[in-house]
Amino acid sequence: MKRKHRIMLARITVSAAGTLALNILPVTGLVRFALFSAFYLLIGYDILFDALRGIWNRRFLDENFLMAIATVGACALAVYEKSGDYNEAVAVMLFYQTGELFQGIAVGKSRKNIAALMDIRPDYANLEKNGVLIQVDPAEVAVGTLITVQPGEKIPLDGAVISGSSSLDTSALTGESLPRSVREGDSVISGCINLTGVLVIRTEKEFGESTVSKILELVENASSRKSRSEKFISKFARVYTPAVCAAALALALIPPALSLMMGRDAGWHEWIYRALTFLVISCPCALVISIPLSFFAGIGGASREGILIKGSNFLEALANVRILALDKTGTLTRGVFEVTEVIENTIDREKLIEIAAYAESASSHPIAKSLISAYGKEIDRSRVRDIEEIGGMGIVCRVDGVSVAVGNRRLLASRGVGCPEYSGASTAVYAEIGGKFAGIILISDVIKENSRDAIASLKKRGVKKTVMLTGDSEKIAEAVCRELCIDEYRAQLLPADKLAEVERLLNDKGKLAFVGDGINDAPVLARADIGIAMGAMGSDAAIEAADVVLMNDDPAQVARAIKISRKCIGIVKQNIIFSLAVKFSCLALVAAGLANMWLGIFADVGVMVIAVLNAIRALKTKQ
Amino acid sequence: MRKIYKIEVDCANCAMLCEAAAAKVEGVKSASINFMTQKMAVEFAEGSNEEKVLKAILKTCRKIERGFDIEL
Repeated sequence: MKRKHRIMLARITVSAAGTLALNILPVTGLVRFALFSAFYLLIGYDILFDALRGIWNRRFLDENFLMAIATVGACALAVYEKSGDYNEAVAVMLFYQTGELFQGIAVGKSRKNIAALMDIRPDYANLEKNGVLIQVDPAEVAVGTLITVQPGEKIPLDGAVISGSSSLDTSALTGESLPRSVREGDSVISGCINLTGVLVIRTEKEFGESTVSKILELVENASSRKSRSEKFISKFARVYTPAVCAAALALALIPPALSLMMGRDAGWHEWIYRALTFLVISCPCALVISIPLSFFAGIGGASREGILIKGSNFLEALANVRILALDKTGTLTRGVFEVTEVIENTIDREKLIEIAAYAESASSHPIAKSLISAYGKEIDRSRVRDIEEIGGMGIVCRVDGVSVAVGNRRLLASRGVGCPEYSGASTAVYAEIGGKFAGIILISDVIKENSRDAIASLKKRGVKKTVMLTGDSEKIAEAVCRELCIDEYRAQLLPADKLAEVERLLNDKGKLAFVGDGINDAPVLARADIGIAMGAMGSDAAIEAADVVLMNDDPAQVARAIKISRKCIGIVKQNIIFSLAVKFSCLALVAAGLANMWLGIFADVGVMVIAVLNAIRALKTKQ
Repeated sequence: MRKIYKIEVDCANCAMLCEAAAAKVEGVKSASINFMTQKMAVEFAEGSNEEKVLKAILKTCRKIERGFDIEL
């Protein structure tokens, strides 16, 4: 506990004990007044001091002044009535200070907790000097330095693996539990935990520019972008306090005046007492504290799941997503071609793939790569001869002495080889071996395993319309949409068309979110209400352009992001409704004379405590 | 020129008022206070003396909350 908190706690304890004692001990008159005053001043001197300063600086409506008036007024009433009941004055001050203390501690603790959760920052880097590893501050490591990361340590800076192989735990950044294996030549980013083997890495970025620092900065600054709820609360608070004070003044003056006019007893005591209680309830603290805290906790909780939300306003918008536009390649599909099927083959499937791989062994086309990886084994280049690449058609060569042609239908037609027609959604590679048709190999961009479930859960979360945008053909788009149950698609789109389509989809009712892999989607990400970049691990461009960054490649994270935002907004709404309801009903009760200052205290401090505790719930984001 | 400072402000209401007050200080183009992270971002107007402006901001905000502090 900080020093000033400790001092406050001491003051509260002494004051409370003293007041309690004075209630039990038979002390009266001047002595009683003096002792009560002593405890009152002990607990409230800073409030009174600030109230005086406030008057000096012409700030009349701040809490200090109001609290001061309320309590001094209560004291004066007690003296006037000779009731000797100074309890309420001291109690108001006591509870107010306790409330403020609680608020200070709770907010401070929440900040620390959230910061600790996000403490993915590495503390040191290992440099090798004369065969010994020495630890240095990562901020002092220049680009191009070789650092060593041992098993169990965090990778301190972004870089490339020079030697060693290992598997990495990326969960701190992506929320993903499956380890990622790396070896020589692979890029790695800071913040990941090295699990199994020793890695020597050449750094490519300075500490301040490394992924970990950028993410922390992003999340920290996110709460600076205010949401609509926060802006509303600011405006509300500015109106509420003066309004309640004016009402208090009216309450203190008008009813007694009316009574006097009607020839009845003014009942000043009664009405002034109620007015003072009004002042106690006039503080909007509960709302002003708990709403930003909820968003802060929400953003912090989301970042632990690998969902980086760049502003409280985006968190708010996510809860209202009704239309979702998705990029196909790289977002819903893996973006990598793979052999998916072999059809109409007259020879053994494995053999067909082997021969096709050999034929394509000299090409670097994505189709060639997919055939080679489907074959899986080492290519013995001596088995292939006379490779001839015919543009727009395919490859002709000799494998094991036999003539082979691999390519599209036109290639085989030009060689006079008849073959069945394939009209499906995949890319078809026709093969001819020894002058005869041998089979068709189907290659497609594989849909990610989680895409189907992701779309299903998005629909459950209230997304009314899902639209897939792609530059691919109609056939492929239609097939993918059917498989994933996506409502609509727009195919054959050029990059500029995507922007136009998104503009057409923008709508007043509900927000439009666009999900892409960020690399070429900057204008579209900017235009959508919420631009979500996926698989952004390490991609600076995506982190820059998007409003929400998903650190891993799983489309299900979009649904998770929406769920987290709904929970956070739910808590915010609960707090607003609860605080306002309690405050207004207490005001009504006090005005009607059905409540005393203790209720006023609850309406102020109690509500604030409850709101803050509720706000912290937004941190828990694990399902 | 935009700079971010670490600040100490104890009450969220005061933070709101300080933000509004700081924005009105001469030499300040815009100011934003993030209560949760205890940081203040100030965009200085062209040709203004940063040190002087900061002192003015500190003075104004101290009137609102006695414990307000800027880490320079």
